Amino acid sequence: MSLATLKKLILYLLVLAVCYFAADRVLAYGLQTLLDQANTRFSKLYSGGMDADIVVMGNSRAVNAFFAPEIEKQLDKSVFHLAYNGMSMTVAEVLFRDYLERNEKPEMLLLEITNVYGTARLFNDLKLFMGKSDRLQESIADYNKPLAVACQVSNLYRFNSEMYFRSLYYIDRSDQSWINTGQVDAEYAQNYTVSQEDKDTKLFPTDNDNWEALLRIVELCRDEGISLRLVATPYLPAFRNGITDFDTWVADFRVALPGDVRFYDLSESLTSNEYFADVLHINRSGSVLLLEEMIEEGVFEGDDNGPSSKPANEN
Amino acid sequence: MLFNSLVFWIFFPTFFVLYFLTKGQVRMTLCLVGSYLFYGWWDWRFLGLIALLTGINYWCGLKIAEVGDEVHQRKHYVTFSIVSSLAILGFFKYFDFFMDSFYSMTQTIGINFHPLVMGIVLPVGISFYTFQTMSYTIDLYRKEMPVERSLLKFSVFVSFFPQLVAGPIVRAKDFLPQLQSDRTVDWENLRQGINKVLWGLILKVVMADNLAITVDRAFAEPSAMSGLYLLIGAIFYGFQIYGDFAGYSLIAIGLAQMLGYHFNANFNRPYLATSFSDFWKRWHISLSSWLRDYLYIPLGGNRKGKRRTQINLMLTMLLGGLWHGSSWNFVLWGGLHGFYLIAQRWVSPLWNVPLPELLKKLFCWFCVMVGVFLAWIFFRVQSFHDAAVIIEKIATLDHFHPSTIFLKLHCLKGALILLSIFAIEVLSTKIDFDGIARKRPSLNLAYGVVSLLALSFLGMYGGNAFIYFQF
Repeated sequence: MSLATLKKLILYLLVLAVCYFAADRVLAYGLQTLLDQANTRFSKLYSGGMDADIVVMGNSRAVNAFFAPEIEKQLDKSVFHLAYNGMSMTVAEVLFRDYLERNEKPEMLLLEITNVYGTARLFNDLKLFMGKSDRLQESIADYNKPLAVACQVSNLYRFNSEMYFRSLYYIDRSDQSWINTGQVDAEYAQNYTVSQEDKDTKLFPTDNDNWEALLRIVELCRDEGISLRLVATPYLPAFRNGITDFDTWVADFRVALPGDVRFYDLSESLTSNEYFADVLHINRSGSVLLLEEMIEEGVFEGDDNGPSSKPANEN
Repeated sequence: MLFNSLVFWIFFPTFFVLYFLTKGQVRMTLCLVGSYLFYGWWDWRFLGLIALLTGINYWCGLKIAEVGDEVHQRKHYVTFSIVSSLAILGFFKYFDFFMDSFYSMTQTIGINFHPLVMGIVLPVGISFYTFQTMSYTIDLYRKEMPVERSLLKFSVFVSFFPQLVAGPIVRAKDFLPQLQSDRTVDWENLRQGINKVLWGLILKVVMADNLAITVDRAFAEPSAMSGLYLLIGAIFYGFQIYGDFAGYSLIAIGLAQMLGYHFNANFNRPYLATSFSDFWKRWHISLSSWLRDYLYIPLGGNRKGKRRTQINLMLTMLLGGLWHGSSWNFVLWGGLHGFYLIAQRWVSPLWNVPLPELLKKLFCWFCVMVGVFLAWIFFRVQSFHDAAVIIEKIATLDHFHPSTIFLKLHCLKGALILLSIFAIEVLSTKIDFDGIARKRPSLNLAYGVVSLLALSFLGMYGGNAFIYFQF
C-alpha cells in the first residue's frame, strides 16, 4: 500500500468516525426527546410527578392479572402499573427505588411474586433509560458490561430495542390498560393436560439475587411506610397441577419471609379454563374475578385490619 | 471467530496493519498463521484436519505434475485426492447420518441392528475447504492450471481466513495466481472492500438476525402457530438465510479485497430470478458453478439426450442438497430444486402465452419465488411432519388473522427492514450505487455513516452464528 493510499485511508476513517459520532449523538438526542413524550410506564416513571395510591409490579403474569382500570373502579384508588414482561425481582427493586425518588410515595406496592425465578434480562431493554438513572446504569453494567460499554460508545444503540418501538406506539396513548383478551380453548387445555403428565415441571429454584432483592424491597417498604402485598396469581389448572415443586416452594417461601409481610397464594383461585389466555396468564375476565377474590381476601385492607393482616408465616 | 463478534474486529485491524508491514514469505507466513488462529479460535483440534487435507492435496498435485502426460498415473493421483478428501468429509459429516439411516431402515424390515454412532463433532466449514482443495487437483488433472510447488502458498490457498469457514468456494486457478506476488492495494480496493463489508454486516446483523426472531418462533412449534404466522415465518426465513449467507460472502469478499485479493461474487440478487435456472445462476454461485463444472458436466450435462439430462440434473441437485448437511431435509430440498429444473425444461417450450412481457416476467418471478420459498421450508424444519403441518396450515389459510401474530413489533420491524433491503436490491439493477460513490466521495462517506448508524440502531448483537457454518 502506498503512503498516499494509507493517508487517504486514515483520513477517511477519521472523518467517518467524527461524522458517525456526531450523527449518533444528534439522532440519539432526537429519539430521547420522542421517548420523553411517550406514555409508557417507564417513560412516566422517569419523567416523574406520578401520584398513585397503588403501584403494581411483577412480570407478564402481573401485567395480565392486575387490570389497572378495574382496580381503580372497584377501589376508587389511583393505580400505576409498573409490571412488565420478564421483570425479575432484581429489576423490580431498581425500578421501584427509581420510582420513589421521582414520584409521590404510594400507599401500597402490589407485587406478583412468581418473578423470583426470572433472569434480569429486562435490563438489556432498559438501557433505553440508562441516561436517566445512575442506579439503573450501574445495574445494567453489573448485569451486562459489554452492553453498558456499547451504549457509551453509541448513544443510538440505547434505542435499539423492541421497547423503544413500543414506546413510539404509545406517544399519544397510555399503556396502563394492557390485558390479554384471548382465551384458551378446550382442545388446548386438554392437550396441555396430556403433555404435562410427562413433564414434571419444576419452576421454582428461587435464586439468591432475586430473593435478596425481595428482602430489600420489604425493608424499603417498611422504612417508607408503604404497605406491601405479595401475591401468587393463578396458573392454568392443568399446568398448575403439573408444577411438582410449587406447594413445597410456597411453604418454604412463607417460612422464609419476614413475619410482617402479607403473602397471598391465589395460584389456584381460578379453576375454569375460560379465565386463561394461556398456561401462565389469565385474561381480562379472569382478572376481574381475581380482583374480587383479592378484595374478599382482604389484600387491599390496611396493615392493621382484618384477618388477612396476619403475617405470612401464619397465613 | 465470527465476523459479527468483537474479537474479530480486534483481530482484523491488527492483521491488516501487520499484513502491510510485511512482504513476500513473511507476509505469506502471516496469512497462514492468521488464518490458523482464526480457525483455531473455534476449535484448535481441527487445525490438524485442515493441515491433513492440505498435505494430501499438495502431495497429489506435485505427483500429478511429476507424472506429466501419463494419463493412467494422473488418474491414479487425482482419484486418490478425491477419494481421500471425500472420505474425510464423509467421516466427519455423514458417518453418523448414514449409520442412523441404516439403523432406521433395518428397523423397518425387522432386523435388530445396533450401528456404531460416534457423535462426531462437525468441523466448521469442512464442506467448503474440502471442495476447494478438490478443485485444485481436478484442475491440475485437466491441465487447466500449473502446479503449486510452494507448500506455504498452497496452505494459504486452503486456509485463507476470509472465506475459510463459509465460502465463497474459491477455485485454485483463480486464487493461487494471486498469491504469486505481493498484492498492492489502492484506495479504490479499500473503498470497495469497506463498503462491501458494511453492506454484508447490514445483511447479516440488521436483516437476517432481526428476521431470525420471528423465524425461530414460527418453526419451533408449527402445530401451535397459525397459518398466517407460519407464512410470515417461511417468507422471513427465505430472506434470513439470504441475508445470513450473502452477508457472510460479501464480508469475506470485502475483507479479501482490502488485502488486495479478488474473489468472484457469490450472490447476485437471487430473489429477482425469473426462472429456476436463473435462480441457480444467482444463488451461492461458487457452489452451483462448482457442481456444474465438477459434477453435472462430467456426468454428461445436457449432451446425452433429454432423459440423461434430467437424471444428471436431479443427481446434481440431490448431491448439492446433501452437501449442505447430513439430513434428509437437505436431500429433499435439493430434490425439489432438481424437480423444478426438470419441470422448467418441460414447461418452457409450451410457455407461449400472449401476455405483455412485463406481466409474463412478473408471473414467472412469482412462480419461481413460490417454489423457492416452499423448498426453504424443508431446509429449515426439524422434521418432515413439521413441514407437512406448515404447508397444510398455510394452504388452508388456518387462522389467517393478524391477532395470531406473535411479537408484532418485531415482525413489523423485520418486514420493514426486509422491504427496504429488497427495494435497494431492485434499485441497484437500475442505479450504479458504487459508481456514484466512486465519483462523489461525500456520498461514499455518507454511505459509511448511514451504514454504521443502521448497525447501531437496528442491528442484533446476540452472537448469532452464521447459518452456513454448520455446512
